[in-house]
Amino acid sequence: MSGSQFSLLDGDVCGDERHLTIEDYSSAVPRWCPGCGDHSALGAMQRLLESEQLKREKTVFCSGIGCSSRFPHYLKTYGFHGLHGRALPVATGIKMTRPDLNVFAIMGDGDCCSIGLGHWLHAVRYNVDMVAMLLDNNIYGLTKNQTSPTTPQGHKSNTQQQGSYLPALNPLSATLGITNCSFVAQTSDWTPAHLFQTLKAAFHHKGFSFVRVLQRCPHFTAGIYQDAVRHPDNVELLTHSAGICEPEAEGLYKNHISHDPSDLHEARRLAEGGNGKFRLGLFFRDESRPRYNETRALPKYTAEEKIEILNAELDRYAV
Amino acid sequence: MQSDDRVSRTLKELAGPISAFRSALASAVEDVRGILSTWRSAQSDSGEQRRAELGSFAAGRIDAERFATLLAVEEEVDAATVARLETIFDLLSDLADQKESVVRVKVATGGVLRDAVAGALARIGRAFGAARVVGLSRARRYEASLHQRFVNEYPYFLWSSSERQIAPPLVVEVAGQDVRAEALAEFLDGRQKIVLVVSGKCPPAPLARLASPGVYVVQAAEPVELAGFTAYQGPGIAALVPESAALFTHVPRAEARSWDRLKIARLPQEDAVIRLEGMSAAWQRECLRLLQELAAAPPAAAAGPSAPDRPASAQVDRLAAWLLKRTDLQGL
Amino acid sequence: MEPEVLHCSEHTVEVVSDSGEGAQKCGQIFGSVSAKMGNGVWTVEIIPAEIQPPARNAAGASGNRIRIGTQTVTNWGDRANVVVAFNEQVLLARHRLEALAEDAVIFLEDMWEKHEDEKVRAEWQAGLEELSRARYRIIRVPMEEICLTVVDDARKGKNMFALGLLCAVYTRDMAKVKAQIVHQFRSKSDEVRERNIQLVELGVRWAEEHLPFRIQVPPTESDRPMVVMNGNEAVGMGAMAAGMDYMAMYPITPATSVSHYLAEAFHKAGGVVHQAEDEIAAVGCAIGASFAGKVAFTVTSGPGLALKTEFIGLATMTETPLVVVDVQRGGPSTGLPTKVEQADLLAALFGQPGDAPKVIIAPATIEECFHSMITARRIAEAFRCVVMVLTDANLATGVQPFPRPKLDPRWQARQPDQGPVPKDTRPYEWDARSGLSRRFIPGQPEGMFVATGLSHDEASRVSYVAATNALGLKMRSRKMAVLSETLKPPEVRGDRSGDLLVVGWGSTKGAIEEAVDRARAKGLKVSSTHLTFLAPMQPGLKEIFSRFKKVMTVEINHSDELNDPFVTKENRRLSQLCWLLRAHTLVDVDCWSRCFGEPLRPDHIFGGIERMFTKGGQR
Repeated sequence: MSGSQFSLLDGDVCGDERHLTIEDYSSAVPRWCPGCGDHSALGAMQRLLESEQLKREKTVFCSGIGCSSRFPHYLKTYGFHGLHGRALPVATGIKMTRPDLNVFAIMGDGDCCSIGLGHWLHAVRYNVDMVAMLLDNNIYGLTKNQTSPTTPQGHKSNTQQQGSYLPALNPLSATLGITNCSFVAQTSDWTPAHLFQTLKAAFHHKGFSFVRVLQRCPHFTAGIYQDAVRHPDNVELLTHSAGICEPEAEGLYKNHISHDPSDLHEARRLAEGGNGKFRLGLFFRDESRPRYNETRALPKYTAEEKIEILNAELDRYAV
Repeated sequence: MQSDDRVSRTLKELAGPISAFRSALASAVEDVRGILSTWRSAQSDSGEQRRAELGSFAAGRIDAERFATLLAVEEEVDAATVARLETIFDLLSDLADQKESVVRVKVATGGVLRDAVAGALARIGRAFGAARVVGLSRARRYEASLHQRFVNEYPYFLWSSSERQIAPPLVVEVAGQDVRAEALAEFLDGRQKIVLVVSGKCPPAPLARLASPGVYVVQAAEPVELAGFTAYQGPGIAALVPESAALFTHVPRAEARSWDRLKIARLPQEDAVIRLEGMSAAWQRECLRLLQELAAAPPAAAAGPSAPDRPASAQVDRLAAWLLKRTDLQGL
Repeated sequence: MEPEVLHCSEHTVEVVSDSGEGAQKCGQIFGSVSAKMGNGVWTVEIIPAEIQPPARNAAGASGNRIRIGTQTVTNWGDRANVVVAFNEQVLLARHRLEALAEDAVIFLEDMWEKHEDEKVRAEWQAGLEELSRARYRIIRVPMEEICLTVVDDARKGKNMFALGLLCAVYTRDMAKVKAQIVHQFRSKSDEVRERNIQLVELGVRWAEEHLPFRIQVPPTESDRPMVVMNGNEAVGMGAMAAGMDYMAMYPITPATSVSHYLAEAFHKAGGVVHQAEDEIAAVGCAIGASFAGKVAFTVTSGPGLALKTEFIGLATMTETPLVVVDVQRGGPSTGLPTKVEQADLLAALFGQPGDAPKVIIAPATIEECFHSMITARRIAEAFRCVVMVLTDANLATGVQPFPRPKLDPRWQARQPDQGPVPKDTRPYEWDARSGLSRRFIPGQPEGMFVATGLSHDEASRVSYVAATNALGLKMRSRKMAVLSETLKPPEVRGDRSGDLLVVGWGSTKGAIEEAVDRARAKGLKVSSTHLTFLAPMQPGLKEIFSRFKKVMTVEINHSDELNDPFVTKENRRLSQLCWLLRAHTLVDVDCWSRCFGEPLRPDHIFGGIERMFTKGGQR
């Protein structure tokens, strides 16, 4: 994703461009619980903003409702903290009318995969140029421990005290199953360098970049990824020259699967998972997919030109 | 006339980027109109303006004077600033009205190609200069002695990197004897595109010397062959050449070497050079030889793509890792 | 022999058929041609809810009513004077609804009398028997037979034959008729257009050979340029005139045709119609576009408005400008999708949980559908608020000529200023008196803030402090008080005081005024006033009401009848504007409302007015 020019006047015409530091991109002190995976995602995002030197006024973070949706408040950019499940329509409206802005949508698992599911699946199909980050801790945290669509089957919560009844929804296969899908990656809160590289790849992808971050809620799902955190053998890293290259993770995790991200069929197979291993990396990327914001982009006219066009319209209805 | 026909077909091929620039111009016209109307209403007579803005449905229903007082803007703007903006509004509107003609250049026979291009870009650049003046005025940092000239002429060397991204392509009609294209190298930056529509006798490879790694260079016979050139998101130069000249395409690609980038479709014999004033046969031949050399792959050109640079682990990663380690997740 | 010419100042025509036989197209062309000749015109579609209801079925009657006059026509009138019916069943439907004048002239297709199906023949007999009790003048026309001389399937041709017949009866300008046919069928082949003209000519010839009368409704000569369109087209065009260039919607009857129109026209002017995945996403995208600097709009109807509720509250809370057009239809729930009602007023005003003040305006005519969009956009932008424009199915599908708008560039939205935000200005720096604050747009340096639906302070920081929340509530509400301060009191039509004041809103204006004029002609001391701003209310209402002995609203929504079982003065549920006016003015406002799924007729309203007098409605 990269913003294009909107008007001749929207550049920094005064030309004072200083290097922005991570502090410049930081706003309020995060109020997430210690150990929450959101901290890791925020850190990686701040690093991305800094490394790309994104203009703060040209960047918008949209979110829904949930712990993760506080994200925009901790960044010194524009933000829209909207409704539960509805970050994507707002983000879509912004990017369609303002292609010059860098747009990010931050969602939790309840947000994206439950109440906002319809928007998620259609956003994949629109393929509007933005980064969509699913901060998936497998639980409703803000409302205190209710089952989410991605809660592992059998996991006990306040609403399903005998354990979650249904098999967990797989956000990766769901996304990869949608027509016009163009970028799907998975990373985790305990691999910050990999998380950063994934965001970077997502940012540079032209189209709707879907990044799922596996993360823990220190209160309600602290143990869900212990197998992966404690035993690197339980992680399989997708590697490829066209994928996400991150030496630290490549050193730590010995199980590598060489996966060409242009192979949708293989991506779907890998996303299905297998033998309880956690797969991190780039599953799929295809920049050739049509982007709705570009398909629908139209030339702009001055007020006088619009009046000329409208008068021609009125002629059609003239008595 | 053949030349005119090629120009209009070239303009059609370039319609996308030309329209993008015009959109940016139209947006800028509306930007300035917006600022002006805010400033004017801050000055005086805002009632009439507000009444008009509210439309005729509001007539008899909304008290426009009261509406105006409520929305009064506190900004204080002097008359000179408003007048300056009005000039800029006219300038931008004028550029927007010129439609395609703003990107067309004709080099008089015997004229200097480089100067004609520089002049055209400086005229287009007035749009950027005007935008700067608006920004400076808005930020209260305008100084006539420094900035006045921006709206008269705004030469390419002053353009910022983002301005170089949205400048429109130029379509230049030039006689073959005047195609001294190597002098255009300084304008091949950002996404600047230049198409030379060449007529008459022409050296065989006038663009060869411009084929640097990131520049799209093409010598073609027909405008329809410019689709890839138009779509390329970087600088490029094209020449529509007569039959005597070489036809080739140089497409920049990451990690590609010159022989991967350059494809020659037609190569005249070295003795096909033409007698032209100011371009010796040797000079013309040199261009052809350069072209051949760039296109020739060495025998063992099987080198795979080099491994990408590995990013050093950043401090932030370590900080995040440390934070996570500090938090005993199991204990919670 | 020269035919007899009847001179009338106005006349009402209906064309009714089974769905799919094209009666609507016939009516539309007849209406447009009449408008182009200089007649006042109002057309209303008679629409079945299903796309293809069974043939020869009263409930499936489909068509058009066209009322034409020498002067401006403001409503669809009372009863039809001339009817063209393609079968007796659809005619019976109109007869049973008392839609036909006692002495109506009816052109009836008579192929059914000798139909091969015995059941059809029996229905025809029974139908004519029922109709014979009225004093209609029924003229049988062998439409099928004649049309078959030109087309293979008469179902696809009768409408043009009927058009020719009507045009001959009303001596319409045939050059204009032909031009209109060419326009209507512009996407079809030359062959289709020629065949249609041929059919029209057959209709004209039949009338010339068989009818001993003509009807003259002389047009008014005028140099004033006029346009003719329906309310949905007017909304779309008004939005373009207002410089709006982003509309997000989801298909819903009867609002969808706004997007049909704009999908064609918007495109030319650089605007986008985004068909979103659902009603919620549609309003969400519009809010996103508005947050990014536009004043975007969305168009919907009752069920869609219900779905948009949460987002509209968010727009109010984040003070994001937004225009929502609600083309009201019959409710509750899915209700009567194709029929008119004015029953969304309270939902529009109070639909959001929590206090969500917003502006509600209701255009009364098709012309106002156009112009209200310009005002709506400007108010939404100036007050950083949601403006709802309530139209209805009557306006949406009705066609009326009106003066061609003189387009003004100042109507158009200004491009938002992308200049830096002045130092130390905050995104909700509410002016303590007015509640107004400066709008920040992404792209403006130094303006970075996070809009949030949570309670927030002037810097848009989330705050759970009670006083902060109270301040936000107060400031958002204050804006409405400020807007109402700029409004002027509504005008009273008729005497400024009297026995009864009729108050209406929206599309009923023409019918109410016609009824009130009739009552005044009969000596009743009645006046009327029509409200365009429903929230905030126009000032001075209490004072105006005090000059009348009784005040009554007339609306197309439900209210209990006082003599219905169990209904008492205490528990009676009133019509929607009536509730509002009582709360607003503390005046004992009464109401007369009907919702039969059709526009109000002046004679019905007149009946309501009369009853108010006979019932001893004196206070």
